[in-house]
Amino acid sequence: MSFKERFGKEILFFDGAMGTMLQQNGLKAGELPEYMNLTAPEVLLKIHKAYLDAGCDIITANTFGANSLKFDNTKDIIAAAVKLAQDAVKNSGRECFVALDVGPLGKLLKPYGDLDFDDAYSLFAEQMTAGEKAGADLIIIETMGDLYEIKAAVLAAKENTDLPVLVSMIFDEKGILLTGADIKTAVFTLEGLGVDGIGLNCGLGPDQMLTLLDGMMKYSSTPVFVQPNAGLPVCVDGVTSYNVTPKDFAEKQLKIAEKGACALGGCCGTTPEHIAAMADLCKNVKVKPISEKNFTAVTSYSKTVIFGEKPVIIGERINPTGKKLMKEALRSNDIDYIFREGIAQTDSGAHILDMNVGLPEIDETEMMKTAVTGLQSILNTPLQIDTSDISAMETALRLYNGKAMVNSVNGKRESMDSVFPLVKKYGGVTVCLTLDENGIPDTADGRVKIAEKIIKRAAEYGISKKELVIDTLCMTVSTGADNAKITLEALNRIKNELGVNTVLGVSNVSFGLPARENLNSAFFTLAMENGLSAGIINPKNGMMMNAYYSYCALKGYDENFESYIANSSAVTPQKTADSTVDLKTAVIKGLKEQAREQTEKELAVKAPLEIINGILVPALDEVGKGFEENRVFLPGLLMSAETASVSFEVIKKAMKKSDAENKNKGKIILATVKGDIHDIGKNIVRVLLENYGFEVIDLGKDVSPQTIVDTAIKENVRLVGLSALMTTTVPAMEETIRLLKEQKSDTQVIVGGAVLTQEYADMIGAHFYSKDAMSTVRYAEKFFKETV
Amino acid sequence: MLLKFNEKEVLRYLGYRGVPADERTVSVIDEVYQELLKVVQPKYIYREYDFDRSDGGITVENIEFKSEKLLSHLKNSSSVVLFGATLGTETDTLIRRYSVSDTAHAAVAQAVAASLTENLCDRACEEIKQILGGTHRPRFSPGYGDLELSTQRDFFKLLDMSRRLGVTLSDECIMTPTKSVTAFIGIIK
Repeated sequence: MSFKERFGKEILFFDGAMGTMLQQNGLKAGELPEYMNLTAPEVLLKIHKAYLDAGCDIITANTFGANSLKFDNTKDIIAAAVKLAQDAVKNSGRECFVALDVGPLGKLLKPYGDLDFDDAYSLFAEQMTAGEKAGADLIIIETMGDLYEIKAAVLAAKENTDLPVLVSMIFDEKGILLTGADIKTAVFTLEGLGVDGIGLNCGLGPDQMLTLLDGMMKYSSTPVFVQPNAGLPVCVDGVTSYNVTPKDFAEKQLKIAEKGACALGGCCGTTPEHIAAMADLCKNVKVKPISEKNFTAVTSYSKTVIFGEKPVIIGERINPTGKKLMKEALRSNDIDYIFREGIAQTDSGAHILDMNVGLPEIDETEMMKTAVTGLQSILNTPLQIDTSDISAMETALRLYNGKAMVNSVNGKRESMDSVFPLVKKYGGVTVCLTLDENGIPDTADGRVKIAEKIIKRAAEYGISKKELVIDTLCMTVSTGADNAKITLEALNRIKNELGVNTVLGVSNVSFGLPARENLNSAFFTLAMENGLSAGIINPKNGMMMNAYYSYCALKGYDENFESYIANSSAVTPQKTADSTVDLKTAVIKGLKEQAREQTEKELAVKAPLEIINGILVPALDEVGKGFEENRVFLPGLLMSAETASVSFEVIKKAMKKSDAENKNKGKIILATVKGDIHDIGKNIVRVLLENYGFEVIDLGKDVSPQTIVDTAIKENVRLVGLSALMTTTVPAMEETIRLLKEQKSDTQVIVGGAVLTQEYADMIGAHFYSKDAMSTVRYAEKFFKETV
Repeated sequence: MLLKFNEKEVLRYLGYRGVPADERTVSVIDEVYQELLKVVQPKYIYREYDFDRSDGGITVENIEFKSEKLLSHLKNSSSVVLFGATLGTETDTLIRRYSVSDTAHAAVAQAVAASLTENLCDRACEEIKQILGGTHRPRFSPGYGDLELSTQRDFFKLLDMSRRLGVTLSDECIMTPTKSVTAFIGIIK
């Protein structure tokens, strides 16, 4: 029988530790264990034999770290490892599977580290392909601590081989992965990717894993396997050891099997004796096939949102439709604007963020890539990928860290046949619009029928109805008095008769009518009462959130009225704003709310430029001077800068285009150089420069010299600011300056950062050494004055 | 372990030179500290090794660390502890988030997190001292003096940093998560 036919149906045994055994057989600390496949094959045969004799059904080849970050001959090492395992099986005369063992790459993926998702994928793909070619029966991706790395590995396995894929993860005692995921988040994400088994291994002993197993069994519909260490490591006289004896280990594994784990093995510290005792004691355990759980869940890399309990808020604001500033941000590639919108909505109570970054004039796929990875580097709020462009959707789902929400599919055959394959492959909860080739039915019955059609088609793609949320579409009541009623009836029937979760873009209902938020919030309450699982709304709107918190409080979803009370204090207008504070003082003191109010007041009587040049710039100058004279310190300088930004934002809304151009004093490129990932200094400089009216092209961190030069040429920029924090990256700075001098000789370079000094700056040929953020501003002012 | 920051240290990182911080800054520091406490995942690992002295360096488990300064730092030591500690990935995420939403908060978070890292190291080293006994020399990290930053690679291998602590190295030997520390500690018994 094949592995898939047996796994999850009968108790199976993995082997125990490989590293521990190799150390006992001559492997020294710091040496790469996989070399022994070539240099000491007899050792591997001996270890495999010991585990086979112990009663294993699956032995793992010695390929844990066999990747091309560590080896030049990855394929040979994998081929040798799999062959040794197969030879050992042959010699034993037993029937036993050989697993290709794939461990973490040892480098963190972006945004935490510096490894690209695509590069991680390629490294894994090489391992997977080599493993299948060598004849492995299955792939076990193990000891993983980062969901994103798991995703790269699983995709590499599934896209390049036909082998079953098991994934086991290393949790800490609280049940948290290295990059923050808890058990349910990991389970939902892995199930979205369609793995064949989910496991716990390493890090913990059987006692701790027994506790964590409850969470696994509660959420997983996929077979679960467990490979504990022989207890927690104990360090005695500088030697790490594990104390759980074979007998204890076996007894604890029996409990784990009785709780529902279908396959057992061991990790660090376990020996053939542990495995033999375990196999002997557990061999008669009857495995019950794991039950199908009914959670509709979306996740980010560390957070899960479950539908069908308390209603879920999906923030609608990252969408250019009808939003002038968002459109402008997308056109000018101002990603931070999108990020700030995401942060603000999360702070206002959004559980999920809808993300639509499509405009006809921009490359939506590229923008999606930047926005998804960027937002996920600062927020753990799950995202709803909102696009009708299938290529942008695939890119987003591939790069998304977690199990996303997908917006949307509809009842048209073409839509279902293009969206569902993506959802099947990457996982996701899909928003299903109840419209099809014949348009939007004007009866509840018609919409329910389309929902049924979509559910059926999804099932044909292997997507369960728990992975769908139905949008019964909300038409404006101004065009038909029954419109709201139809939507609500459809909602109710889909939730209660079909047992499927629901979603609505709530604010359409009031289109064309005055005081829209009155209608919207009332309709929102009605919809929740009729079975709405999630509302796509503006969480920054007080009335909508009032409706939400009130509903939750009244329906018993809000224990001790905590959210209700917290929200009611938040919406009370804060009259702390001291009306005697003028705009200049507000900026100097860093009072954002007052600055916002005072700017609006000033706008009623003064022209935008008058406010900028007459109030904001002098205020900033005063703070800047204080900073230069050691009276004001970095936080104060930045608070004033942030406050001025708030004021600028208000002014910008009121400004005509011509004014905006007048404000522009000059264009500057900023970048943290290649190899350096510290960008806070650079960000500080950017905020100050922008405040002083300069246009900043921020290329981010770890930027290659050529990218900087190319941008300078393309945008015709003559002033470049480079930042480096590490001595090791100063050469990259030097190289950038050299290239600029060669290819765009009219450009001047300002350098700054912790390791730089005037001497260094001179040595690498910079035009100016900036000792702090203000001195960059001063130099830029001088530079553009002299050259314009 | 409830980590604490050292206010003087934080103010020094923020450029204050002996001047007391204003009320606003103090309140931002407190706010940021509370937020950091929600996301930090302080962890540390260590292992004690015998070591050999060689010309201009030390050797641990067949791996040589070249540094006159480290050699003299460990002059009277009978063994050496390799130590690693981190605040975890979510700390970096919060700092990144602040650098988008509010740079003043970002600068303060950077400073407070650095101080929390120091606090974690100090307290971890105190615990290690309780366990191992003896006199413990101050921490000496790769990148200090003549101990090249590139020695991080061997250090990471020896201590199995990425697997045991979740800290990894970039090509340029920068640690991620960024609020992490590695160090040699000489033990005199």
